[in-house]
Amino acid sequence: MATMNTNISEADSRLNLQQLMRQKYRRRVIVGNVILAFVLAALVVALIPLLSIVVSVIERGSKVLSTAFLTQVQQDPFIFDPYAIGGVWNAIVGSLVIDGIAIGLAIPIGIFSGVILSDAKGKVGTTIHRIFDVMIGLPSILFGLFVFFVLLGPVFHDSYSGMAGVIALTLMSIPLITVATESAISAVPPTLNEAGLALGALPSRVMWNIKLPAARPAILTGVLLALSRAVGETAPVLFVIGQSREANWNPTAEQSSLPTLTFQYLQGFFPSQREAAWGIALILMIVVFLVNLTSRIISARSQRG
Amino acid sequence: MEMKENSTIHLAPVVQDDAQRGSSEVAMRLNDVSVAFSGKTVVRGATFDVRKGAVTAMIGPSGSGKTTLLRALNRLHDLTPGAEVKGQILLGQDDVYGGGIPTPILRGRVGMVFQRPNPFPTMSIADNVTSGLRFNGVKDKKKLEEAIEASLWAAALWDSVKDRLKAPASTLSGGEQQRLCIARALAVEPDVLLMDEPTSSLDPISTQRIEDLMQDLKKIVTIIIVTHNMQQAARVSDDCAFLLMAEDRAGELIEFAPTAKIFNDPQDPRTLDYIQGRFG
Amino acid sequence: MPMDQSTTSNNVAGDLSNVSSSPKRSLAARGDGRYNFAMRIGQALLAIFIICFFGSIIIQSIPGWQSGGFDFFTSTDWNNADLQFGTLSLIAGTLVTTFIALLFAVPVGISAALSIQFLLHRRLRIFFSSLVEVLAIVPSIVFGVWGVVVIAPWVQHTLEPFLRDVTGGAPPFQGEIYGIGLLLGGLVLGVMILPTVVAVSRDALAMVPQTLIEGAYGLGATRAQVLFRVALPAARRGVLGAVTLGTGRALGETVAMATILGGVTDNFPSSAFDLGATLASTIARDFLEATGAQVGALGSLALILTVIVFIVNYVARKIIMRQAVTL
Repeated sequence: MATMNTNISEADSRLNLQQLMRQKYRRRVIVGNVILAFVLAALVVALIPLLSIVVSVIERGSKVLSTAFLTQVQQDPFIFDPYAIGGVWNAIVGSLVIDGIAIGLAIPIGIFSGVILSDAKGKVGTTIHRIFDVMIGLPSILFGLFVFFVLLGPVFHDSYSGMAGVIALTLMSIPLITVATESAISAVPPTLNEAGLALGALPSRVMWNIKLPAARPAILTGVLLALSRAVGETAPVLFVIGQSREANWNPTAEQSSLPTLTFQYLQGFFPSQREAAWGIALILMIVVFLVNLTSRIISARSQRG
Repeated sequence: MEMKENSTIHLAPVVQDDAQRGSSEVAMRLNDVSVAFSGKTVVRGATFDVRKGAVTAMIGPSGSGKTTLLRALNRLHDLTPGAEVKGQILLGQDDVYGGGIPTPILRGRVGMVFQRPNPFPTMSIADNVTSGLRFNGVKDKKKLEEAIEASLWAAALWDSVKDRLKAPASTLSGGEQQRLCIARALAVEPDVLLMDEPTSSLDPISTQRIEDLMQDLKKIVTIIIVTHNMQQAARVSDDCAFLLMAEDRAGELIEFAPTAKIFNDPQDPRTLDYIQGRFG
Repeated sequence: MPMDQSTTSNNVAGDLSNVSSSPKRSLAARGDGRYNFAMRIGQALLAIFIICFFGSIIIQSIPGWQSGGFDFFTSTDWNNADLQFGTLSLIAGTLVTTFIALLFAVPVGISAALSIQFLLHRRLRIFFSSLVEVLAIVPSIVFGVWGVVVIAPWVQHTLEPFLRDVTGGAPPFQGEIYGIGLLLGGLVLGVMILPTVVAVSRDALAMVPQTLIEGAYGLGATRAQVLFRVALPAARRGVLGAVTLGTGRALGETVAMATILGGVTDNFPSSAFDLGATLASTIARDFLEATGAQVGALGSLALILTVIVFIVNYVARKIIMRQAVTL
């Protein structure tokens, strides 16, 4: 039979422990509350600059926004007419064309790459996966440099072209869509996969008919994320598309884009140009916000469905 | 399962003599307790005394509010948004909801073991055991080391893990992890140990080990166990509270009596139905 | 179980020959061989893409080494016009701004994530986590604009004098005050990566199993203890991922830094107030007029930047892995 010390000193020791804990209680509660106060304060500190940006952009940008701003093409102010800013229509068209084509190309390539990546096993597969993970965070300027160094000469004959920007943005978006696709596919419950195989379906069929549809919402989220990135990026296209003042829908011609125009205007001489930069910043923020909203609605719907 | 004779166990027994079926001292007393969240009552009318040094089981089909009632005893129910508790719960002399006893201190006196083992994954086995003590401000290395050995012994885990105390808790099997959680709860030397279906996720052998363990544990802590397994309740408990969901979907206490009586001679027909397996 | 060689069997349940474990056995299964083949080709293509991409960076950087010689790494003067290509100032500038950014964004960001996830009521939590997610995608050029116009004056007239006075002009806080410069760049970078750090950390914290948190409370832990001793450690892989993402973004930030930093490339920073440049901002600034040897030099900068990014990722992964094992 188990023998437990039943004398008073053992009973005491439990009381002692409880007393000890009681004693320490007040201090640790106070310390805990101080810590929590700091943690909450951090939230405030984080919000101040972020809200400042949002407020600044809305406030200063909305002053500049008007139908004229959106529909006219860029003009150059000069001494006798420092407010002849014109509009940003050329940049809007440029962004639409370049970003649209880039995403259009990146989606199929990215999804196929994602499928390939999910199938890749072993050392090679892991390495490719890891490198793609790094490429997602790679400074976007490197993609612009790649196009500039490697393609601009032989392919574009050293002239500016919207397509060069398209290629840079496509390359930049591919790793993101690839990795998003691959993790969406891996996240499909293995029971679905096994059910398909058990019914006698080929793995390719399983992939095409079962896995991809199941992964679709997550893939879509990844695509929209890539799109909002592409829309906002300056560096990849800065060197290669030029600075067209005309709005043309021809992707191979010189183009402008919303971010590059912002960059231009930021360094502009006239105050009206810098004000216009805020206006474009507002446009960009609204666009990015809408894309993000769409992405949330899609994921919310998919979870309900 | 034997306790080591010369162990440094400082877990003082609650019951001096286990030849008796426990003293008539009361560890916790419930008076017309009802628990709700967001206005919806989940359990009500709970009135019974939990005897010191005994194993008290709460049984009943799912939905009868057993787990909710259990979680009200150590105020874990407070974590649920919109939580409300009415009635009186006494721990010894202290009103659990009275404000006289701070909640973290209360939880040091009323410990809990959960349905699925939940050791802290980022801590070693030893650190898991002492985590409760360290949360409560105990820093003395000697005390902590003694507590590790004593608690793991009490939880019948010492022999298996004594050579790998620094290993991550995740390297243990399910049954071992649950015993680790028991050791962790015991380390702060609570008066009462709440167990929420502790063996429902374990295999039969681990289940039996823990059931056996409970008979030894009740010498040092009062145990309140929620179980949906009637046979388990019959095996391990001294007293039984039977709860059942009423028509308004709130659970209520139907009957409370020593286990033998509940299973052999229940007073309420509904209890009889449940015992005979008519539902549940 | 005998493999059914028949290819015309209609008995799906009984016919397991289509399972790819024996691809050579039946015609239908050979069809999937095509799939496997396509997969192999695809992987080869991905590998080729990666090799071409990084290979070109390496190749383009060669002229830079050649003209710079050994000085490339040791000289602090980077002067495009004079064809002087010492990168030390630029590397220093990159590291300083990123360091300042992390100094701000990591403690503030992780704490903010803790607040949002554990200290706020449900409605506020949803609102703020959405807000932060949206802010994470705001184009960096917006931050650049804001930094120059809104923040620079404050830094110039309030923050930097304050720092100088408080520390009595001690080394990081000495010298001329311009407003723009490394400190402003670092702060703007910090604000830029803040939403990313907060959003991803919060996601990681949200995934901590509730049962762990309840277990900690059940032992008598206070809320602060639950947050810092249980939740945060449990979420540390995700949090580290957040910090890595933020760091990557800070290192490579081009246009905002080009706008803010004042492009001084031959000054090894001795103070946070200094003007300076980063690797990325220099590439952006000097590119349009670069010719000949200058182009190669900029390529070298790109290579250094790439290497730094890979190192950061590697180190972060090592830290995550090690923590997972030793706990």
